Amino acid sequence: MSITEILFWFLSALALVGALMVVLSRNPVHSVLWLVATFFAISGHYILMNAQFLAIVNIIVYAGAIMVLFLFVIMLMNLNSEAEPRKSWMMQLAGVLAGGCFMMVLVSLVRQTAELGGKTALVKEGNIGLIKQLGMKLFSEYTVPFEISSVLFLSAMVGAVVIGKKD
Amino acid sequence: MIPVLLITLPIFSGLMAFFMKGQSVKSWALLSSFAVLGISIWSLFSDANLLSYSQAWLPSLGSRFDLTMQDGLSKLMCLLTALSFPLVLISTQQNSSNQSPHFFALMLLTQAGLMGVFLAADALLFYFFWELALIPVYFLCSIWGGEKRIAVTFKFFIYTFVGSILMLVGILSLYYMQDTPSFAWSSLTANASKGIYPNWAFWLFFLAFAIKMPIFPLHTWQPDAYEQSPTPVTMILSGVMVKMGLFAAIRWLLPLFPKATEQFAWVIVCCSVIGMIYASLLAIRQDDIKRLIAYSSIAHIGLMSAVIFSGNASGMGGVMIQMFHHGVNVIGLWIVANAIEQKLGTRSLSEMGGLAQKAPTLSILLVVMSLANVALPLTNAFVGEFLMFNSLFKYNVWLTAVAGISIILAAVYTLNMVQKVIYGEVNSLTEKATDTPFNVNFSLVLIAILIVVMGVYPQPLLDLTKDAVTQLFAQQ
Amino acid sequence: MNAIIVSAVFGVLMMFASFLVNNKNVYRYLAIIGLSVLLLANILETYAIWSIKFDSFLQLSFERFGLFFNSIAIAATLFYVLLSGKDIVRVGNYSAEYFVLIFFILCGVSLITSYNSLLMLFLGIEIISIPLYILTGSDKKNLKSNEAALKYFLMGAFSTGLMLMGIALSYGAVGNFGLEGRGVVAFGGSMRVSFLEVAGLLLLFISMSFKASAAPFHFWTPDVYEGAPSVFTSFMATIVKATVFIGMIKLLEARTGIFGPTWQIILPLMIVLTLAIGNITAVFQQSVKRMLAYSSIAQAGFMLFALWSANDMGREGILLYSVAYTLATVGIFAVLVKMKDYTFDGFNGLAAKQPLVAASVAVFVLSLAGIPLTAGFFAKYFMLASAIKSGAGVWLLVVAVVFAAVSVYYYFRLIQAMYFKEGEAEMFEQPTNSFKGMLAIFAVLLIVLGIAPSLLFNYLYF
Repeated sequence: MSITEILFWFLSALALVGALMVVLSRNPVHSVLWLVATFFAISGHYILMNAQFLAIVNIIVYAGAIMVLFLFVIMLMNLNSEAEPRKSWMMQLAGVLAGGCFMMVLVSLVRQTAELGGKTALVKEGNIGLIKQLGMKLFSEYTVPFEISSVLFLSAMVGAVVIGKKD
Repeated sequence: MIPVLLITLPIFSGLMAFFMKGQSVKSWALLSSFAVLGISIWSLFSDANLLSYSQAWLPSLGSRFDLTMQDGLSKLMCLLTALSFPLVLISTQQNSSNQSPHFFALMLLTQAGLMGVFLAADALLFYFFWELALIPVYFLCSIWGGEKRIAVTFKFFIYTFVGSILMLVGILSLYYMQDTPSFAWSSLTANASKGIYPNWAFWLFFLAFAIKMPIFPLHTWQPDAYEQSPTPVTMILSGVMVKMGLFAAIRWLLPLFPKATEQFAWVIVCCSVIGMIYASLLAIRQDDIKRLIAYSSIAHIGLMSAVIFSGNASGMGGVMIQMFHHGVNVIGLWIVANAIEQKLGTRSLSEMGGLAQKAPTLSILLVVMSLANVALPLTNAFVGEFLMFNSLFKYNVWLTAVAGISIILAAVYTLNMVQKVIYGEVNSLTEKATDTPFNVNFSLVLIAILIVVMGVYPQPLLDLTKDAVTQLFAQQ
Repeated sequence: MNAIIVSAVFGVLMMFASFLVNNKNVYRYLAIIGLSVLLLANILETYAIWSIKFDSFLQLSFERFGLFFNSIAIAATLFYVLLSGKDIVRVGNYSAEYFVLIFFILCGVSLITSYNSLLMLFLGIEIISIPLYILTGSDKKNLKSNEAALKYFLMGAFSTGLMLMGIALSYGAVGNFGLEGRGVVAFGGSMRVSFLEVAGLLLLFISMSFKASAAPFHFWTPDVYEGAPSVFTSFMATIVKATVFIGMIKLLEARTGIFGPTWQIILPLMIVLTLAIGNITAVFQQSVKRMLAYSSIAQAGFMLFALWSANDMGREGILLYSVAYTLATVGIFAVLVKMKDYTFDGFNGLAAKQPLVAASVAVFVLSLAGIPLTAGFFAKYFMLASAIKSGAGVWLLVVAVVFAAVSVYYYFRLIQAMYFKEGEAEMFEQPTNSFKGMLAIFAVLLIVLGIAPSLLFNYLYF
C-alpha cells in the first residue's frame, strides 16, 4: 500500500465520519466543527487529485469564511442541544425508512454500475484542477455560464440587502 | 345559412340584452325569440343547401364549425326550441325573475346553446354547445331560484358536468381510433360499421345522455332542480333541455354504437321502465305541484328512452314526435302551475281548491293540458304514446305490461291534481283568485290548439321525421 | 440570447434606479418599459431579425419553442406588472428591488427555455429560486411571510442539493454536461442505459418536480404560497411554475426512453397523486388564497400530461396551458390582493358592488375549471388529447376528468359567493378604471383563446 493509497483511505474515512457526526451531534457547535473537518478531508482529496487551486479555495471559502460565520450565528443565537426540537417517533421512523431506501438505491447503484467496475480513483494525475487549466477553461468554453452566474450572485446580494437591511 | 342564424341571432341579442336597461329588454327578447321562431319555420320549407354550414375552425385538431339540419329530427327540435322561448317569455311576464335584463340575456344565450346541440355535426362542436347550454342555466337558477337554489343548482351542474366531461373522453378516444382522425359526424358514424369502437366508449357517452334525460337511477338531481329553479327556467329545462339527452342518444349513440346498443339495451330498458313506475308512484304522493310535474316528466322520459334503445322504426318515429309534443305539453302544464303560484302564492295542492269557480278559463285550460299529459286519444300525445307502446310490446311483452301500469298511474296523479286544484271548497287562500291575464291565456290557448290539431292530424310531423328514422335504420 | 442579456441589464438598471430615483411610480413605469423592450428584443430574436450572439460552446440553443415560451412569459409578466404593479410597490420598502428580482427571474426563465447543458439548467433553476426565496419573505413584518421564506429556502436548498447530485451522477456516466446524454450503449455485451445516468436523471427529475410542486414533492407549496405576499404568490405560482415544466419537457425529450418501461408506471402514478392531493385538499379550504395554492398543485397534475405524452400536441398544449393558467391565476390574485377578507365569504356580494370585476373573476374561474369557450378548456383538452394520442390508458383520462369535475366544486364556490350570496365584499380601495380595464382584457383574451386556440400556435410555427 503506497502512501497515497493510505492517505486516500484515511481522508475518505475522515470525510465520512465527519459528515455523519455533523448530523449526529446534539450540539450545533460540534456539528459545525465536524463540518469543518469534513471540508478539510475533501480538500485533501482535491490535493490528491492534483487540484491544488480547488483545495485552497475550498479551505478558504467554505472551511474558513462560511463556517466561521456559521459559528458566529450559532453562538449569537445561543443555540444548544436543549433548544433542539424533539420529533415524534413516527416522523423519525419515516425519516429512517426514506433515508434507508435512498441509501439502498445509491449503494446498489454503485455496485451495479458496469463502467465503475475495476477502476480505481485517479490520484496524483491529471492537470485539470491546476489554476492555469482552470482559467483557460473558465474563460473560453465556460465564459457564458461564468458570466451568467454573476446574475445569480447579484440576485443573492440584492436579496441579502432586502432581507437584512433595517427598515 | 339557416343554422348559423339560429345560433348567432340569440347570441347577439343575448349579449346586447346585458347592456340594456328597463322594460325595453322584454320586447327585445320577445322580438328576438319570434325572429328565431320565424327562421325555424322557414327551415321547414327551405332548400337543402340552406340547411348546412361548414367552416374551418380548428384545423390542427381536425374539427370544423359544422352545423347541419340533416334531417327532420333536427328541424323538429329546433322548432321546439324556437317555439318554447316565445311561449315562456310571454306567459311569465309577471314573474319576479323576468324583470332583470340579465335574466333575458341569459335566457337567450341558453337558447343559442340548445340550438347548437341540435345542429352540431361535429363531435367537438357538439360537446362545446352541450356545455354552453348549461352555463347560463346555472346562473339563471342560482340567481332567481327558490330558497335552496344554490346547493340544488350546484348538484345539477356537477351531475351534468361529470357526465359531459366523461363524454369528452369518449369523443377523444373515438377520434384517435379512426384511420383518418376526424370529429365529423359522418366520418365517426361511417367508421362505426367497422366495429372498431369498444363497448366502454358506449358507456362514456351513455352516462352523459342518461344524466341529462334523466334515466333512473341518475335522476336525483331533477325534482330538486325543477322545484328550485325559477319557473320560466323550469319550463325550458323540462320542455327542451331534457330533450338534449334523448336527441343526443338518437343522433350520436345509436349510429355510433349499434352493436353495444343491442347488447346493453335490456339494461337500459329495464332501468327506464323501473324509473317510469318509480317516478309515477312518487308523483302520486307529491303535494307540491312543481314536484308532481317533475316526477311525471321523469315517467314520460323513461318511456321514450326505453323505446329509443329497444324500438323499431315506427316506435322511433313515435319517440321523435313525442319529444316535440311532450315539450309543448309540459310547458303548458308549467304555465298553468306558474299562473296558480302567482295567484295564490303557494304550490301546495292541499291548500288549493275551488279554482273552477274563481278562474274558469284557467281551469278549462288546465284540464286540457292534463288530458294531454295522460295521453288521451285525440290529444297530441296519444299518437306518440301509442306508437311507442306498440314498439315496446314487440320488444318484450312483460316489460310492456309493467310500463303500462304507468299509464294508469299517470291518470291517477294527474286527475288527482286537477281535482284538488279545480274542485272542492273555496278556502280563504283561493277566495281572492281571479282569472289569468291575457298573456297567459294567449300562450295556453296556443298550446291547446296545438294539442288538439296535432292530436287529430299527426301526419305532418310523422312525415317530417320519416327521413330521420329511415336513415337511422338504414345504418344499422 | 437577447432575453437573457436584456433582462439582466434591466435588472441592473433597476438597481441604479433604486438609489437615483426616489419615486415609487417611476420604478413601476421603468419596469413596464423594461419589460416591453425585453419582449421586443425576444420577438426580434424569434424572427431572426436581430440578436446578440455569444459563442456558448453549445451550452445554449435557441429554438422556436423556447423563444416563443419566453415571449409568453415576458408578456405575462408585463401584464402582471400592469395589473398588480401598484401592489408590488406597496409590499415593503424596497420597491425597486422587487422589480430587480423579477427581471433576474426572467433571466433564469430564458436560460431554462434554452439550455443545452445541465450546467445551464442548474444556473437557470437557481437564478429563479433565489429571488423567489427573497420575494416570499419580502413582507418582513409578517411572521407568516418569514416562516414561508425560511421553509421555502430550506426545502429549496435541499432540492438543489439533490439536483446537483443528479447532475454529478449524470456527468459521471456521460462525461460531459450535454443535454443529449449517452442513451443506450453496450455494456459488456448487453445493450442498456447506464445506471449512473438513470439515477442522476431521476434525482434531477425529482428536484424539478419539487420546483413544479408535483406530488409527492408538493408539501412546501400550500404554506409558502399562503405565507408569501399575494402579489408574489401569483407570480411564482404561474410564470415560474410553467417555466419549470418547459425545462422538464426539454430534459425528457432529449433523453426519451432512459427510464425504460417503469416510466409508464411512475409518471401516471405521479399524475394521479398530484391531481388527487391538489383537488381533494382544495375542496376543504376556506381561504381563497390557500385554495388557489392547492389548485395550483392540481393544475400541475394536468400539466404533467405533457411530459407523459411527449409529442407535438403536448408541446403546444403546455404553451396554451401556461397562457390560460397564468392569465386566470394572475387575474384572480390581482383581485384577491385588494380584498380585505381572503375567505370565500369575503367575496360575498362582489357582483353587486363591482359587476365588471366579478364578471372577469367569473371568467377566470370558469377557465381554471376548464369550461368550454374559455382557454382553460382547450388547455385541458390538449393535455388529454396528447396523452391519448401517445396511447395513454383511458382509465388515466377518466381519473383526470373526474378530478376536473371535483375542481369545479371549489372554483364555483367563488362564483356562488360573488353572484348568489348577499354580503359586503369589502376592498382596501376602489379598483381604478385602468385596473378594471386590464381585468376585462384578461377575460377577453381567455375567451378569444377559448374560441380559437390556433391563434396562439400560429406564432409558434410562422
